[in-house]
Amino acid sequence: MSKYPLGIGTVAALAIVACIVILLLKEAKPELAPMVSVAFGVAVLLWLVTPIKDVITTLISIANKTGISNELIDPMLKVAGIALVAEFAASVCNDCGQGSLASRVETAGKVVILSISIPIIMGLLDTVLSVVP
Amino acid sequence: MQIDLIFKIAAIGILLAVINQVLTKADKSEIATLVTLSGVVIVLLMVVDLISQLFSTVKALFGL
Repeated sequence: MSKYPLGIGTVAALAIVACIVILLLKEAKPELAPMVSVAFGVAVLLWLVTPIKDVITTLISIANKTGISNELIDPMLKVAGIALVAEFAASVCNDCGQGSLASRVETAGKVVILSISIPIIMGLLDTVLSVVP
Repeated sequence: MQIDLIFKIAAIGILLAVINQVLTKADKSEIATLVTLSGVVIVLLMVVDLISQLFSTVKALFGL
């Protein structure tokens, strides 16, 4: 835990601080309140970069040890990244009160993820078809 | 640490509110609108900088 920049306690405390700041700004300047939530979301994701990097390195080393090819691991990581970005953008849109924009972003994310995972699905289909006579 | 940005945005918001009230009381509501707009643009520039940093990090991390 100590090798990462922040623990869960710090993140939770800072989230509460950000909540109070947002409450304060909603009275004074309502148009700046979503900015604080966006800034906090980006800051938390940037703090999470180091743990995510560790997890990815471990995953890649496991894949190398078990002989899984990079063509299967790379799309998986890409899907995780796209899901992260799309979910972030969708929740920002939701915060700004634009639910329809949020669902469009989610749809775009799903379509991109599907298009990335098509080679894997086709590979699975080929394997199944080669086993079944 | 990026948490500074939250307090910076809060400070800008409170400052903008005070300036806005003073200008509105002095019957300069058109200048008040401009001040609000410039404040929002300044905050937007700071947040967009952070977002671009996040997106380039995510791109490098997940190999997008």
